[in-house]
Amino acid sequence: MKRIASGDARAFRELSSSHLKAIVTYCFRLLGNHAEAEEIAQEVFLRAWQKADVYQPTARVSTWLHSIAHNLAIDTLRKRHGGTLELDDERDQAPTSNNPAQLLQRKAVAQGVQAALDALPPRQKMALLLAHEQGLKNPEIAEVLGLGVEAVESLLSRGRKRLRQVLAPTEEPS
Amino acid sequence: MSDHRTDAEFAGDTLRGLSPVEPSMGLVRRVAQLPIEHPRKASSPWPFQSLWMPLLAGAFAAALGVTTGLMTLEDDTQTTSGAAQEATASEESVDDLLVLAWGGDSPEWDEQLSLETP
Repeated sequence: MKRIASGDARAFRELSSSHLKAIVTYCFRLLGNHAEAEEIAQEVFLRAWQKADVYQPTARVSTWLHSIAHNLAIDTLRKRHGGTLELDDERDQAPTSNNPAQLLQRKAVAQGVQAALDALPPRQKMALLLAHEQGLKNPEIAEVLGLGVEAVESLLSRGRKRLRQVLAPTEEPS
Repeated sequence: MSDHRTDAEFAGDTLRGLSPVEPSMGLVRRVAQLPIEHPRKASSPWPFQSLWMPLLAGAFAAALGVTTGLMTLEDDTQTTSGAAQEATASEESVDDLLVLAWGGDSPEWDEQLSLETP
């Protein structure tokens, strides 16, 4: 990052080639739209290039990039919902008749999983994606989401349970 | 057949099974072009944004100096007159003490005092 802060374009290209796919994937999972995900990913790397000098080495670069991507994605989701977005778990409820389990039967497995994720409260979904798809540790997820580690653990626990209920409703939970 | 995986294992296996999203070639190209399209500002030995900034700063400093100088001058005048008043008062109190000590005004003592005082 020091090299990028001093204007080293080659260092920036190394950074982008290592993290671009992960950032696009994370944005796509949150937004469900490839064009928007790419637009945000481009903005993430533009900010990384321009703001490299404010990067704090206390956080991993991937955590920092995910934080930027997360905030931009939240802004996009808010715009989509007319300026408001309920991130909390208040809308936590049992799957309805139009639940992703039924979608799973009709559609491909990946689409079913995506639908199951989309049925989760946003923060549970984000925490699950950051933990299991992006490979971030709980303190890093806490930093990206702007929450405490205990809150992240709680989100992950509820999210995992809910995902399992949705995808394997007949199965006995562990 | 029941699944004996924990919830964490189940979520991990499920999400890892999602197909990754590949960035388009267009995005890869656009991101690679970012340093060219948005060059970082190189650090310059000139610490100001333009020539006007130091000139303005200098003019402001001069105005501040003049204002402070004028205010200090007024204070000095006040201080000088105040000191003169204090000196008169202290001379009077010396006279009072002499009256008390000698039981009356002594012009000789005044002369002696003025001789001893440098």
